[in-house]
Amino acid sequence: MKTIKEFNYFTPQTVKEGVSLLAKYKGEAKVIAGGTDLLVMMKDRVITPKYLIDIKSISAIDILTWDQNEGLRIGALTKIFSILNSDVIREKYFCLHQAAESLGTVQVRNMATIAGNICRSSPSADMLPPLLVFDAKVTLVGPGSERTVLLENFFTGPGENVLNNEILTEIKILPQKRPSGTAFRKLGRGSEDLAKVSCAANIMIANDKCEDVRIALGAVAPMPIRAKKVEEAITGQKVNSKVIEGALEKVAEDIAPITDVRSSAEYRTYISRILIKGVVDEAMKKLGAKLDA
Amino acid sequence: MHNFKSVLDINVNGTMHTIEVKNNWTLLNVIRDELGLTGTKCGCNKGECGACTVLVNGKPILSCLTLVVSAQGQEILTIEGLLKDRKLHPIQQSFIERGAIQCGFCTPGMIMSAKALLDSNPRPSEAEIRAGINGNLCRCTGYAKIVEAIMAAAK
Amino acid sequence: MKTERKGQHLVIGKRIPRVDASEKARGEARFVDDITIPGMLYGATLKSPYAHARILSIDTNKAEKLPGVKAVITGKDMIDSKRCIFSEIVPVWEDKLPLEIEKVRFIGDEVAAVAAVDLKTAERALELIDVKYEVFPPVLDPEKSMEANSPKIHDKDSNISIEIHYDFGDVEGGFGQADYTFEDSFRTSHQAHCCMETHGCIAEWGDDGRLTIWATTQRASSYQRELAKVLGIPYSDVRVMKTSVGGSFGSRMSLHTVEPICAYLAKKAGLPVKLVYNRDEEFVSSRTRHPAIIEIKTGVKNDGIIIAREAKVILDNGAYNDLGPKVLHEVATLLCSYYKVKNVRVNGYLVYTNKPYGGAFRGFGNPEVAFAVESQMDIIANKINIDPVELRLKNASDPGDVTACGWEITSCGLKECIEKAAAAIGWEKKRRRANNHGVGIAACIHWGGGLRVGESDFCIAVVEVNNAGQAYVFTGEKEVGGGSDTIITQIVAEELGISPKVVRLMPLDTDVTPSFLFAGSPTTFVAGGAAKAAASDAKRQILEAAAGMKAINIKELDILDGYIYDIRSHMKLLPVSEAAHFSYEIMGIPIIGKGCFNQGPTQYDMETGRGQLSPTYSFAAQAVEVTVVPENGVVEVLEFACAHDCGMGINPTMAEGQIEGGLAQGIGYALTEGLAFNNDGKALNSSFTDYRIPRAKDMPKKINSIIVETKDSKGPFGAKALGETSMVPTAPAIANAIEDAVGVRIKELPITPEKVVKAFYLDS
Repeated sequence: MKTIKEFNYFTPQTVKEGVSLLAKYKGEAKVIAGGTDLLVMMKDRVITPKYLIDIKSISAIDILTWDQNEGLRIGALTKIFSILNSDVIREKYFCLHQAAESLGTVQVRNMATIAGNICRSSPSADMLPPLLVFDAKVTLVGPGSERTVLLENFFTGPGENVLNNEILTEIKILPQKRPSGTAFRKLGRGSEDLAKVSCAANIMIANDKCEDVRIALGAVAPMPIRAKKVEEAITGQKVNSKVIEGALEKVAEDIAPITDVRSSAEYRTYISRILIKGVVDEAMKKLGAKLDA
Repeated sequence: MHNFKSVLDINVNGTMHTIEVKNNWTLLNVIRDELGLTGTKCGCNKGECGACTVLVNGKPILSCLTLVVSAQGQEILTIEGLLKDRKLHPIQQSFIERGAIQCGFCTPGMIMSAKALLDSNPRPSEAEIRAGINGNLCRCTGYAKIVEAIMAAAK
Repeated sequence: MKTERKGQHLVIGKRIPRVDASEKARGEARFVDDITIPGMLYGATLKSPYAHARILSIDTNKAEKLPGVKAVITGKDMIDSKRCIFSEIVPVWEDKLPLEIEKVRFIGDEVAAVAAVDLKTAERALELIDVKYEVFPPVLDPEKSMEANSPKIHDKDSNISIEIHYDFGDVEGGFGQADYTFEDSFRTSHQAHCCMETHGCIAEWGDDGRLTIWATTQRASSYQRELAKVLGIPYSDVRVMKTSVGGSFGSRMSLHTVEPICAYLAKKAGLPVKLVYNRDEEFVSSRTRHPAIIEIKTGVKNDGIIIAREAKVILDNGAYNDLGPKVLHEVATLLCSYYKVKNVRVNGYLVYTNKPYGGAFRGFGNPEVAFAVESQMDIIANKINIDPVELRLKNASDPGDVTACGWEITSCGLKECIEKAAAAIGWEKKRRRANNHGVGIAACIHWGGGLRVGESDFCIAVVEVNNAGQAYVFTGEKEVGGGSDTIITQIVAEELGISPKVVRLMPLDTDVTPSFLFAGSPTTFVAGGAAKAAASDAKRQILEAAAGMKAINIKELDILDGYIYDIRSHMKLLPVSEAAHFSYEIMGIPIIGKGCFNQGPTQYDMETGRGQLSPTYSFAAQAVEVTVVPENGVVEVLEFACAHDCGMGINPTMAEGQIEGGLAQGIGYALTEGLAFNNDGKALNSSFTDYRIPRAKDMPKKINSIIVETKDSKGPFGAKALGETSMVPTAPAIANAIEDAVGVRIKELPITPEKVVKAFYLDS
């Protein structure tokens, strides 16, 4: 931990301005929104940008909207506390609300942006699994270009992603085709648990069977991941305990947890199963359905 | 040609300050070292302990993870700003009466979080109080009397 | 107007607000980092990146030339004086230089320091210092470290710093008579103090060659002497000034490296220097609690009476001694003093490893001992089918007992503590409940009036009552958060018969405030005792003046509410201020009361472990209700009932605060805390995110604090120590409650969810 190295500071008023600054100072510039992750990295000298581009004045990306055509649009400046206080998110994207609530401290919720969480690309960030289970997409704007990337494809490794001199301006979640049950859980009652494993599920039931299910986990792989083998084992089946137990056996194929000071890989795998079972159960209850024996 | 400095207008405890700052200074640095308001403490300098909590536009934030340059035009309230004509704020009074202060290092940050909580939720439950101060570490009190003090100040 | 004291207390036992609360609430209390001296420089230290290495060379040339750098020092700039508190008593325990010259012995060991115009320059200067090391494999496991062929950490034949062998009674005979023998091994963790304020110091040399320091100290007089020794100057040339201190819990008991380094920097630079650790440094370079491996063998009769005990203790010293030798002595004598058992043998080893070194930490070895002894009590209770509360009551000490190693117990409320804690938690109803709920209890003994290993406690106080009837207290005691300022204020106010509002403690300044040398943390007992004696002397002088003024025999007079009154007629005669004024200006005698608390030479024999360690002992029992989710191992602490025999609660609000605060540290110790190291000796969780101390949401909603008053005859107004005991029984109480809830016994701290799950599934 050291003093922050000196930098030039910009407050662009538009995305275009921001992007052109980023391109101009290629490699030596960083975008800052809430700053909770970035400033810690700068104090630890993990990164030492000479140029900081503060996007806080770009009003175009300070939005949080929902409509039945576009679905949910979360602008890059949206803070976690806005996610938490949003009625539409609590109603229609409940596990995202739960993740925001679980983020332990008032101060961090007031400062951190969900976009910043995504760009930090930590494998254990709580906000990411819920976004994954809604097939969230992110809009990345570069000099003279704009692309939309599925969040699942955004992460490339711990702390790494596909951003290439671009600014992430928005997160989009399309309206769901039919009602679904969603839930988010992580271990422990306290705000920060030791294993850090978190899990979100989004399940759609039709004709008594699982029409579609998405399950995402954090802190069990180099990136937040979808547990696709587990999902496959549940899709199309009647969702009962037997099917779930069978699906849970596939967890080890989907994840690659590490052993560190907080927990062992073994325990994380074990906890992943517990959490998946818990979120599926809870998600099913939201639909009024039950995990019968 | 680098420009590592900025000129800033910030409102701290009701007083407008126009100061030249270095871009790499945090709000905490400026409050303590430039403005001499040493009530706000530095416990960890990386946003994990809450000792540096101040209110920006009424919201509790971590001043050690806030660049002072990003506070341009904001209204900042520190512990020193709670006194009105040298009279203690009810929360401060309650902390004193209930024995919620031991070493006192976490106290300013804790009181600011408490103020923000009561301003937005005048009748919090115990669970809401604990959630409201969960971002402020205390190693001395076990939080019991802090929670009681905030509950008492709410009435 | 009728008035009388009649033996009731006026201020003692009352919930008056702390005398320093208001300035702290306003943010006006001045901690080290809040203080600025004109011309002040900023210091920073260079630490070893290796856990075990020889220093081949240190090149500070480039650093010295950096603009803005005013001083660069290494160990060679210091006189050859190793740092150790008890150097006068046991020189061989000294083993730490403030800046190491030959070897570094843990990651975080300091080798050089700089002072510069700002922190940024100081950081840059550190980067320019070139240190060449010859790296050795680190020794991290204390059991391996004890082996004959392990790499030696110090210039000694063995990594065992000290060994203790105590033998009392007839251990063999005792085991021979036992109907059951239990052998269990327990492990405790490397707990970090995590004070909210980090270590810091400001040093300023005067033109007269005297040094003034503002530092995070708990013991100003001792710091003064230790620092003087390391600087090679008389201690009268060191002046320690008051600051508010952001917690200590023992971490500020003994001089750290920060103060001498800061003083030498200031000397070389010719300017004042401020050196404050950042939080990373605080985790890595501060002292910690000693991790312990305790193997206990206990022999028990059918009826539950403990008849013999044998223990082997390995205390992980870390890289240096600091207070480790003293802690090992404590641990050994404690093992001999839990309960009535007379046949006890302890073999203890203090072992060096290449990790951050242990020092004083609340409880001073007792939390480690309690975890072992009190966990095993429940193992015993379960096996022989006696209720754990019952078992403890059967074996509990009584007033008048003498423990196996010679602790003479006078006031003792242990049984009452156990009964009250159990009743308050609802023991009968909640024990062996289903649904993964459980209750557990643990008890302890602790020194109640200071701790005399190698030296004794000593405190002088002066109480001056001015001609306006206001009292000024001069004491060497240093407030670090526990509330000692307020306790002393109350004691003096009570003794003098005046309002605490007109009693003021003079800000600590060793030039003015008298010596306070103590060996434990007995602020109430020792400093309070001295203050009471001084107040009593001042009161006598006031009454002498009044007796002269009113021509009444001094024996007929007393003071209440600031008024001197006639005991026979209960008539108020005159205010204290008038008598004081008379004394000063008519008699020409200032009212200056002097008091001393001097224990006399210690009776504890370090060699045999025999002897009265403290004038009196405190006791406690804590009972807890937990719920455990066996699936994921998460333990939730629902409620705690804490019964503490501290003689007398001088200020009940503050006593509760000490209990609640200690409890929080005990819960952290039990469930989440402990530094972890990789194979290179690097701490893996040196931040608040990864080193989890309890937050507001982690604490139980109900904490029932019960003060058991045994009114000790030696303590001021009957009070004994409280501050340390509050985290002693906590961890074993929780471990016992977990066993009650889900049937698993965890013998290693911290009891993480993973350990619970493993134990649960291994068992079933």
